[in-house]
Amino acid sequence: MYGKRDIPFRYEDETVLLEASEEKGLLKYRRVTSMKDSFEKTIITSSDARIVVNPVEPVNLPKKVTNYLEIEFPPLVMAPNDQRTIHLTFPLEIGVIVFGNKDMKAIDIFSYCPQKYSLYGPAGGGLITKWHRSDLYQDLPVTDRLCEGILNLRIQNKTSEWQNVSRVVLDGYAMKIYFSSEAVRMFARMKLMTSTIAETEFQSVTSHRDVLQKSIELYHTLNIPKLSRVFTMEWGFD
Amino acid sequence: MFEINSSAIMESTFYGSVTFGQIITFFAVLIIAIIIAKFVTINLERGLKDKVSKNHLNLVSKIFYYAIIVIGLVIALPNLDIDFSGLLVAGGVLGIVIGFAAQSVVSNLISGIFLIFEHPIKIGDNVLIDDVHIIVEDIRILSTIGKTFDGIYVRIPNEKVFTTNIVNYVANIARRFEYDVEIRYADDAGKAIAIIEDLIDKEPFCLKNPGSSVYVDQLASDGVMIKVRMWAPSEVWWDVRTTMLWRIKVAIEAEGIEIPFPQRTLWLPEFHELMTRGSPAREKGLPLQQESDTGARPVSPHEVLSGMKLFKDSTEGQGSSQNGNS
Repeated sequence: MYGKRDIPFRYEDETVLLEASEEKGLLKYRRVTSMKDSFEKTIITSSDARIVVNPVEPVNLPKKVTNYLEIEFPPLVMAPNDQRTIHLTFPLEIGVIVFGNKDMKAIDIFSYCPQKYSLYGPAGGGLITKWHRSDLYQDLPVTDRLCEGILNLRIQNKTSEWQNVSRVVLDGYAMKIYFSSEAVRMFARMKLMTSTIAETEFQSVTSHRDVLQKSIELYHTLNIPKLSRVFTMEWGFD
Repeated sequence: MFEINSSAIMESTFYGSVTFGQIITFFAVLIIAIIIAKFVTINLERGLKDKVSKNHLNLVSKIFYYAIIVIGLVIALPNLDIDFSGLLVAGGVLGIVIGFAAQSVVSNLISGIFLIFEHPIKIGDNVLIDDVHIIVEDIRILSTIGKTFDGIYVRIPNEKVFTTNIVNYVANIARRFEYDVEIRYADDAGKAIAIIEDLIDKEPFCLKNPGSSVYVDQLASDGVMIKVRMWAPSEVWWDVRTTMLWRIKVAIEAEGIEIPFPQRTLWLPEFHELMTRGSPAREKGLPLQQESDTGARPVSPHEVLSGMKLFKDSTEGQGSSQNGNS
């Protein structure tokens, strides 16, 4: 399903029909899923527009109210000054993005996953987060590739105490999503600074470049490669 | 025939040593400053629209707008031969005069400045100020502008906004709301709670944390009262609040659980008791059992009512016959 396509196009599999075709002189985009859910939009462009279908930051559905993704997992206890990479799952949202005249626009975002939101921190000053519960995996898990992606999370305990960890909050404005024919992946790091504060940031993939293709991001920050965007979890991670 | 000597006009004095040319220069600089200020603020708003909140963007653009105009004024004023030291003294005196003359205006102005820095309300907030429920549309230097839910324009002086109690319904990022759902005594409250909890779990905007709370709150006169409390993001809480109640009603009714109507259970004496009241047996002091042994049975409310009519008729008859006898 994922990839670049010239207009007009038609893609169909057992779960979805995606189509952009000309009707009465107008370009119509149409999506029908196996859940009998359908969507239609008219596109007006005089240039040679292209359409990209790929996983996008999972913070848009059913309506965008936050940029943050929170993943809750079975609690783990981590030794002082230790580090370990674990695997979690994250919810997938699939974006249909139209490119033309040097700009892009998401014309449709859909998902096969149930959606849920949560509050991280206090009601006054905290954050609304897109919430997802994941199991904890040592190795790469087998997931429903339409519904869940795999987050590779490196946890570093920088404190001199044992720490309980059961959640990670990630900033959608710095998400880097990769996909291959098998799975959708993200790579992130979580640094436990004190017993209540942790830093999280996404990491770019340097290896597996030939297998993993980078998704088009909907939410951009300044594109300064050396400047990473760190999110501080200041209301705990237990 | 006539030749206009423009240089002479420009050099002719208007007042003191200020020439027409200098006055034109003064206004030209001022107009240019206004144009630049407009240009800068429009571009600033366009550029930062997606990156900065509407409230901060409004404040920043106002600061830029007035700063550019003040700079233009400072550049333009020397054309009018204005001595700034004199202006400061005059300004001070003028300030005192204006302060006394326009106390409420100054009070509103200062309140406005404090409101901008304290920002208890933001543009777009849903607030209750001095018993007026509005959506804030603009926070100006002298007043706050809002719109009621009926679409009516409201202007509240900043002094009032600053000194009165403000209830900001969306200042916190999430808020809780609740319903009372009543079911019949004959229904299973545990099942109803499970259905409601499942519905809350499936609704994306009913927050996972803080969790919802669904419990039997009251054994009320007409049924069992279930309290349903849930949290939602402030941005969408009204949509969630207005949709969830009906969904709860539909879901529990689909499982055979009903919402009771107000009801009263009437316990009426049995028919034979009604009939025996005032009967010859009672008057003679005979035990009622003796009469009930003669065929008394439980009766329907309809029979009781018709019996009451009969009883009334018979007593009336008795009364009249007694009266007749006497």
